[in-house]
Amino acid sequence: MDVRYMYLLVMIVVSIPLLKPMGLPLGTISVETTRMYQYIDKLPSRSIIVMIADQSPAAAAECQPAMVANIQHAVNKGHRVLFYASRTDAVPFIDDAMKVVLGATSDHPNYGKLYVNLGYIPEGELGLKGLAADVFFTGRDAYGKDLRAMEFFRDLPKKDASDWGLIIYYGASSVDWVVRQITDVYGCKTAGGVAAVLVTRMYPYYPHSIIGFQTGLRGAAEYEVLVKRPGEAAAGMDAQSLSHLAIVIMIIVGNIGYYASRRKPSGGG
Amino acid sequence: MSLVVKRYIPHAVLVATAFFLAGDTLLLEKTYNDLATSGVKAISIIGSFAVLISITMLSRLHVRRIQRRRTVIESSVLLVCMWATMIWGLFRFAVQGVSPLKEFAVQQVFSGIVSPGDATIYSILAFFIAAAAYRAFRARSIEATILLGSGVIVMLGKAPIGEMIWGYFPVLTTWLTDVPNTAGVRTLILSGIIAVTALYVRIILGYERGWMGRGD
Amino acid sequence: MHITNVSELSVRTGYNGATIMFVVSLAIVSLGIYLTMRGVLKPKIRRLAGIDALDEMIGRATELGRPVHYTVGLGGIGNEQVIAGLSIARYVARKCAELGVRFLFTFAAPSVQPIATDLIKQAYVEAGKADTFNPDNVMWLSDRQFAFATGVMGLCLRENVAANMLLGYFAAESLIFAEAGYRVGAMQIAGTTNSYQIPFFVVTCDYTLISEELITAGAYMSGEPRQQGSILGQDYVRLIGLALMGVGAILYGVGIKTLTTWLAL
Repeated sequence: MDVRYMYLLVMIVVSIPLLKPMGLPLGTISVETTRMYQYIDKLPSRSIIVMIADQSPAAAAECQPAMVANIQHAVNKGHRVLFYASRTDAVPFIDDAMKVVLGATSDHPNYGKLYVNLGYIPEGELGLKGLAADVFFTGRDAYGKDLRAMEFFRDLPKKDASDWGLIIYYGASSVDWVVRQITDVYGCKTAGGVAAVLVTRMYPYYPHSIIGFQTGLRGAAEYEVLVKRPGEAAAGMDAQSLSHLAIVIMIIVGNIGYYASRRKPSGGG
Repeated sequence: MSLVVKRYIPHAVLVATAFFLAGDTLLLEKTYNDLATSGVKAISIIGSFAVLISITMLSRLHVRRIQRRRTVIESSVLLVCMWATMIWGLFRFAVQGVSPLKEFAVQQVFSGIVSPGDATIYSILAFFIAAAAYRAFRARSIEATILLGSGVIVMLGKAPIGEMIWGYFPVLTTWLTDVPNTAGVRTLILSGIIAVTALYVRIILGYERGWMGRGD
Repeated sequence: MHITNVSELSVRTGYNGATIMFVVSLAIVSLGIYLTMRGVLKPKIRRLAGIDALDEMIGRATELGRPVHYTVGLGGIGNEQVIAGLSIARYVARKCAELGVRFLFTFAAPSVQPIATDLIKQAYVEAGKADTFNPDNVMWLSDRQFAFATGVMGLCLRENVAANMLLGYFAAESLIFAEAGYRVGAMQIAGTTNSYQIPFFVVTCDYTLISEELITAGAYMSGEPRQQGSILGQDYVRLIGLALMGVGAILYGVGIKTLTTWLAL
């Protein structure tokens, strides 16, 4: 079959539910998402949740709704949130998420008290290692304000990652380095709002180091349901359902065709 | 350049840094750990200059294209426009103290060009996955049939429609991801780490010099 | 300069086992290299089908008169997959130079540029074809993931490559590379340690190097005792790890947690 027919089919199947939502029920919420929700729910008030934005604009479609839902949950529970980006193109996504939930970024009255955005910290794992060892690693936040002057950091006993309640990774690359530098060294558990492709990499660390995670768009939709804030993820579930079904049907048709062509006798000479 | 500068000094720096940072992960002593944190800060600062290297290389590439008068120069023109936006953003930050996060032109370039462009190419994967799955998921052998079956179960288990078709799809998906998948991925991770350890021993002992630009 | 108070130096809590394994791993791999170089041990390495097929792929490119494309993906020079990819690239570049096949090398991180150019030029010199080396064939396309992917896709389609070698660090764009190679009918080999990209390569490429096979491929190909000794050493480390896992699981299962507790100290 010409591959372009397949592309056309996928395009139609993804477009229709986005233009005209079907309202398919989400179904059972997964254990991984539930565990993550319960962990954040049970953290003592004013616990520090660190959110690592590692999503590229490509992965943002899956990770951004998860980030928004998690921020909403943290706001509801009165937790403190420390943001930083481990890649340059993830920096605006922190601002976007803050604007969606809080309505403002550095101008918010609780900025510096409950929310701090450190901006971009380079060198991935090494950058996180430095931040974990010293919470004033960057000196200033993403907007140039002095961290030591902020109320957010005033009552921290050790000023390192052992003061953190949870660290959440958003992205599509890998989560091993977060577990290696934070959970293994300081004991702070890891969670994730990751692209679906990364999920197989999460399971080896689950549930001891990674207490729970949101699996791609579905996980984000589940978390939105749990915090009662339906958003972009819930809206995309119809398209995901139909596209998965379409691919499965194509696979089945392909196999039927394959076996039919094997059984056909070859032409006589 | 002499052998000392080209080979021995980089090698010595690598060995010293490797053991120093490995020691910081494994050992506890305040002075040592503080020194290592300072070292990590220095590496972080040096790492951020890698952005400058990218800009320089990109600019050099396009200047050469324009000099050679290649026919397709739209991307070079777009780059020049982005240079202008970047310089404007730097000016606004350095002189007027406006963060690039709040500078309209810079944000528009990101949200209007860069972000949709990245998302568009990523979305091509949806079509490619469909084509690859159609081609590759054939029940030619026992292993291929197992791959086909587990692929179908996980795809339907992860989509809400799967639970509507058959309530056990999510249950089977959970088992597949928790048990065989986890076992396989753990194996891959462990064997990869052990192989990387051996690679770094070869590098530390000086038997692997590809990273310096000369093979063994 | 005062670096540390040796008297106050101690192992971090929970890192006893890690420290011991770190020292033991280094020692065993070094011992494996030493004993193999001395001729005491003669390791037999199993064949890697993908690496053995490299010559076939280059030969096919020669017959078709089409170029060979090689990429180490997104990582910088500090990434072990890129280092492993570069060591294989040197071999492929030398073969291409000997056979007069155009060798196109692409990468995403600028830090790879000087290393790759030097390495490939050296390969051409070793093949006795220094005059045919063209630095324009060592191409930095972009450090942005999907800009790099579109660049590679366009290159494969424009140049109609006969062999597509994807050996290095790849993330979500891996399928884009593989599909582009498939579209032009190229023979493909891929390898990465990113476990979640391996399935994409397995279903689209002719040969796949899975995880450690990529890292050890350079050592496998060189055939040198010191390289093969490191493969032997890593296998012994793996055996120790397996033994610890097996014994630990059995002891834990019968309720004896001494080993687990001690390793976690």
